[in-house]
Parts: sequence; structure tokens; C-alpha cells
Amino acid sequence: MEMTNEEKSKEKNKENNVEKKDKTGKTDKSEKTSGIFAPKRFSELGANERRYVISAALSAAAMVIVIIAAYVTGAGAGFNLIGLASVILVLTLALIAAKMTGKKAVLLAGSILGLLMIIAGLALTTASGDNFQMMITGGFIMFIICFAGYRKPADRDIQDERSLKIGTWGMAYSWYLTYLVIILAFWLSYFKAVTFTVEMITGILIILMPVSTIIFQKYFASKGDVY
Amino acid sequence: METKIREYRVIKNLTQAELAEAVGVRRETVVFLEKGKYNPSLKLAHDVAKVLGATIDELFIFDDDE
Repeated sequence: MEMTNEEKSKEKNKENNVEKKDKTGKTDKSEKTSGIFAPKRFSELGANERRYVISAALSAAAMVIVIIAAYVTGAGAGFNLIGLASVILVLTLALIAAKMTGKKAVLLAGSILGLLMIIAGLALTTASGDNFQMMITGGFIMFIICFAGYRKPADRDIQDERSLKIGTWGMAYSWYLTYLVIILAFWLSYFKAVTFTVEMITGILIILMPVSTIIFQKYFASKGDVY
Repeated sequence: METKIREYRVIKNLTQAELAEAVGVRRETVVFLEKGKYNPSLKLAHDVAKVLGATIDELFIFDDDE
């Protein structure tokens, strides 16, 4: 039976709404309703979900490489190293899973768990005299990441042209600043004003690059545009 | 740069979030667009004008010096 003009118009509106929903949000409905534990192909995942999966895979690979390196160099991967690597891996995967769900309740629970880890670590360190620094550090990281995710607006996962531009320029400025710091370190070392070790330089770079990126990105975000 | 996005948005009875969703950007992008602090791409300017039922020239006003 042929559709009337009104029915055709309604069908077209439905299609437009579906297209509009696909067009307006980078996260489409299927990502939110299927959940993180529903099996999906990698190509079916959204941009953010792919980032999380890649982060999880890289974290697992890093742990495996560290353990293999410990064996190869003869240092040996005793229980402590395997246990430590396992805890870090589990914590990383838990954080990624919490961020992937995007649910406020899960992120709030993660924040509270992080706080409890910090308090427990401090209490155990004081009571037993042993060093529970890893528990405190892990709790701190968990709290920061989960609380930041809990506080951010719902549309923060959308990557629009402005956020991409700010992200790119922030990283570019951070790279340039890091390059200047490396040049400064070279000349300080050349004239023996400061004696740098490899750990010092790499430690400075490990902290400087992400922190400066975040600072530049926040500056451009508050300013509105990059120029 | 000045914009009349806010005026046209109010006429259309849209919130910033609704306009942002309609053109596929974050709400804060719309905030900075309305303040004239963000220079959008031609495509975004066109999409905003289309949603608000105006032209790009009507929405974005440049000083002669610029």
C-alpha cells in the first residue's frame, strides 16, 4: 500500500533524526547502551573507547616488557616485581574500565576507593613502619582521575574542531618548551654548572611534557581560541 | 569580532546545549562563539547559520580594521 504524503514526511523526519543524532554526537547511542562488557569489534568502537582499549593494551604490554627485561638482565622477576606489576596493571585496567563506563556512580565509587587507599596507606605506614608508598600513590592517581571524570561535563567526550585545535596547539607549545629546556640542560651540563644524570633528565622530561601540555591546553581553553 | 548568535538563538528558543548538539560541538564552544572569542571554521559557521536560520554575514560581524 502506497504511503500518504504525511506518512512519507514522518518517515523522512525519522531518518533525519537518526542522521541528526549520528551527526551531532561523536558518541552515538550504541556506545552508551551496549556497555563495556558487550563484545564488539575494534572497528565498531568509538574514538574514546578505542583510546581506552589501546591504553589498556599498551599498559599490559609495558608490564610484560618490564618483567621480561628483568629476567633478561639477570635482575630476576621475583614475587615483588610480579606483584607490583600486577597491582599496577589491575589498577590501570580498573581506571580505564571506570572511564569507559562514563557512569557518575562508578566514577564516584572510584574516587572514594582512591581516598580509602590513601588513608589506608598512610595508616599502615604509620602503624607498621613499612613503606606503603605504592598504595598511597595508586590511591592518589585513582582519586584524581575518577574525580576529574566525575566532575567533567557530559559533553566533554565530544571532540569538536575547537578542542582538537586547542589539543594540538597545546602539545606543540609543550614540545617547544621541552626543547628549550633540553637546550638549557645541555649548556648547563657543558659548562659544568649542573651535573645531570640520565634519571634526572628523563624524570624532568616525563613530568615536564604532560604537565606543560595540560597547562597550555587549559590556558587556550580559558582564552577561547589559540590566537 | 562580534557575533549575533545569542540573539538569534534566543529568537529560536534554543539553549546553548541544544545549539551545540545541533551543530555537533561542545557547549563551551558555543559559549566562546557567542562571546566572539573563537574563530570558527567555515563549515561550523555555515552549520550555525543554518540552524539559526540566518546567514553567516548576519551572525558574524567583523570590524573594518580586521
